[in-house]
Amino acid sequence: MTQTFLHAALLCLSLSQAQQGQALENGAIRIQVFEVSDLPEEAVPVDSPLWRKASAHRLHLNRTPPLYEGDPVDDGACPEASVRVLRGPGNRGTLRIDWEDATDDTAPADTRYPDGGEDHIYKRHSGDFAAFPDACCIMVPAQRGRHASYPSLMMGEKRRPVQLLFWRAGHGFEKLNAHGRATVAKADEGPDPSGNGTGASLSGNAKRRADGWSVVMAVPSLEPETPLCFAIWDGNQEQRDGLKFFSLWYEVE
Amino acid sequence: MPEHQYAMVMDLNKCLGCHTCSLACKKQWTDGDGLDYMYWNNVETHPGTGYPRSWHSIGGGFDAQRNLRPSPLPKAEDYGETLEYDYAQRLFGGQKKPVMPHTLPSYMPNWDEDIGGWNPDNPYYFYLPRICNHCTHPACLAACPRKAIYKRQEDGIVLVDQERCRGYRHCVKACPYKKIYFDAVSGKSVKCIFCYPRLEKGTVNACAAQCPGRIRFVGLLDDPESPVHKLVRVHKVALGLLPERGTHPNVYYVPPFNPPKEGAAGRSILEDPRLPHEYLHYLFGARVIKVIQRLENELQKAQSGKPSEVLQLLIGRDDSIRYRLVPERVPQAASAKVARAHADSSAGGPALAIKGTQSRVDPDQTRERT
Repeated sequence: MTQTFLHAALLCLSLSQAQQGQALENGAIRIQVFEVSDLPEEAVPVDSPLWRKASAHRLHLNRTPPLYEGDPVDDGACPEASVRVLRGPGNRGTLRIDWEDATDDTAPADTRYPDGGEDHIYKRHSGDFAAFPDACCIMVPAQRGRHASYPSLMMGEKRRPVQLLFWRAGHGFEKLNAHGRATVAKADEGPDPSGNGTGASLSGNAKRRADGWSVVMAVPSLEPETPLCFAIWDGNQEQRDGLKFFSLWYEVE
Repeated sequence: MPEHQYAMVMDLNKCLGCHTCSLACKKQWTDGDGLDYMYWNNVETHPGTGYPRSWHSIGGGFDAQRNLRPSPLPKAEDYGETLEYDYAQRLFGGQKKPVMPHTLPSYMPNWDEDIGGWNPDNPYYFYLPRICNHCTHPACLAACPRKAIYKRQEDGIVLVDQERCRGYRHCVKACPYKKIYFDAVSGKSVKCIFCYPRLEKGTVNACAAQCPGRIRFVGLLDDPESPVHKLVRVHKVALGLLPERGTHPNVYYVPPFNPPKEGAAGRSILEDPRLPHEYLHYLFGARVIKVIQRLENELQKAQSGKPSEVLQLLIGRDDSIRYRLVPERVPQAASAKVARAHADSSAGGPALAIKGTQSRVDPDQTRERT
């Protein structure tokens, strides 16, 4: 009984502490990191008990304004979201992002026939090509570590490029680079100024829950005081590109 | 503005609705994975909903102040499902069941084919073949935040850079003709490319080459010898679709005039027409009435034995009358600079990797910044 009470008290305490991160002088909010001495190189599974040891930090999200006539306007509603961070040897990091999303918008690229499609004209039929998948992204400066100033939230700048770790439901994970608006490109198609990880492969896993998503991504080189920011897309609202929920810069301790 | 502009004229009085053009295009370009539901060229019955459903009434294009007015994004069911048939069980499986589609469709392209309208007691319809209009002011180009769509400087053909496109589909919403499509397998937008690899070799577009009705005319708008210049600029008997959307399409139509209504033989086309002018006005704008008057005048000239250049052109017996391709005036892409209306990329060389064709990329080619 006493043990149960203690457990409950500790849980409440950790949740309340995790709600508000520590604000820094530069305005960013510091996210606590749980250090794991034997953190695997691959992303930790989303259901791993390790995640219970990391504090859940609430993400304060904003909605981008409409791009064109007919795009949804900001009604003030943003999904509840949080992030947990694990770090291992060599500053290897793994993040888990949890967010609310009432609809499962998994939009795979194609549908295949059970027989493999050999007798069919088209081997792969288009999936629901009018749907947009749920997605999330972690943006990290190409140069890790302590920053005097952060890159522009609009996909970085020429002198401050960024790396984007991107997941879409039904499409998997990919690593992108950018140095400003409309410059996003797959990591294996252009220079990788960060030198953090070769190619576009990105280790991660995702799980659909009853009321939302949990997505885990491995972040190469998560040095202390590295800035991070986050974005979430709700496919049900036709969100993609610059139509999304986004956060300002955070910083890992 | 591009140096030249390829254009096409289609005489709607000659279209049979046979869809040979659609299949020519599909076999040439859209028979790969992810392209199954697309018809870069399609033929639809009008009055009718069209493909995708209600494309002509849901919006797109620009308003009078030149602001983009995107439409809602058409749903997958508005395009119709691609059906597959179980031939194997019938042909090779020894079963005697009739061949059936894998699903019962609720909507398809041409769902309302040949239905048309009634005016009154007189049925009327016409066929409307459509391709991308390669507009002078493309709404798709204006809508793309990544500048992935560009208009070729040498001939005005509008293309999607498959390297830059990330499948946001702002272009699909912006196009008033819904002639740009999303390939879910590649994750890019694709569209009619006006058969530019064929034009560069002096061969006409696949849809035009296969048309048994000889309805299509292809050439440069600014070439005084081309049939499109004569029909559009000189004789002024061809009009673009939905002119009020502000994109200035470069595919033109000679408007249809159906046979006279029952009991109306001998009267002018404009007196009590079978095909209501309101509908033609809706599709082609206010100038359509004058165009029909001109066409009727030319018809009467020919019927009374006088020469009519317009009618001789429209009859178009030979390829040499209907097509004037001048690759020597429009340098091939391999040696020409590909200009983009707005360029911000520092990447060298265009990436015109079109599925199903060889790449036309010339690694020494650079983009012009404008």
